[in-house]
Amino acid sequence: MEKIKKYGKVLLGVAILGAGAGMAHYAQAQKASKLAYQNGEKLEAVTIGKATMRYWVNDQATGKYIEVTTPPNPIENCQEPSPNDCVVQSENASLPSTLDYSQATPANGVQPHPDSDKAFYQ
Amino acid sequence: MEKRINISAYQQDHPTSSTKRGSLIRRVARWIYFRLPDLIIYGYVFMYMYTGWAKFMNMATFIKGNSKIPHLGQYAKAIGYGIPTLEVALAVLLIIPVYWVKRSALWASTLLMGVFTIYLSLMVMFAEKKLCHCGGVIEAMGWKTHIAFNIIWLIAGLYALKRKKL
Repeated sequence: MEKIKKYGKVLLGVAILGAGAGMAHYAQAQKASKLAYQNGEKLEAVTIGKATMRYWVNDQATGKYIEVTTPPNPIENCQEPSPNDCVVQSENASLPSTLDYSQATPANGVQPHPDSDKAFYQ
Repeated sequence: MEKRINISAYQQDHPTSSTKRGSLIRRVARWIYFRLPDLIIYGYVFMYMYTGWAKFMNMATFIKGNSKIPHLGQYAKAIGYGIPTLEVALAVLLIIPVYWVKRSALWASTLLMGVFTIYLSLMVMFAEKKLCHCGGVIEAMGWKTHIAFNIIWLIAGLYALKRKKL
């Protein structure tokens, strides 16, 4: 009986360990989806009827800007450790004040938007 | 005879269902009291596993955050890997049913909670930009709530150590 109790306690402990790890995964997924939703909402609000958005993320190792297909995560990719890790190019002039991204400038090495005649950096 | 009369008088004053409910509450309270140290240990297991795992999943952010901590920034990588490893290791050690292992793990867990509480207090008192990459929903707490949460767990850990005679 003592042995069963002992193993029961260990099993309970293992279940709690699993629950802890599972909860961490769940919380992370929730946070990511919430962030993506908020980001998407912001993007939709400023890009309706506008030219295609393009995004670049600064590669900390090489110092170069790499184009990414999806909006970068404002906190993980853009704000830490320095505030100029991300650049966004669009025809919408109000973008920097409504999104947490930094301005794209020629100095960042970002090329003009290929689909737009009056492409500019912001 | 007198004893029997007393019992029947008591039963008339307190209907059966009320007595049963009272006894159930007492039994549950007694069960919780006797198992409180174990419950606290399992609480530590869950919390350290949760926060440790959450830090592992956000390792880059955690290390970046650590690099901004005054005086400790130069050890950002060591702290970044060390803290979650320690947390997960303590969570695992706390469930091992060997007396000295459990004792050391509970002491270390309580000590670590004390260190976290001191860090948070110093951060609230002195730091201009407050930093906490504590993992999961815990970092979403306000600073005062977070300190109160840590102090409660610190006291709970000390209580479990005393009750378990560990």
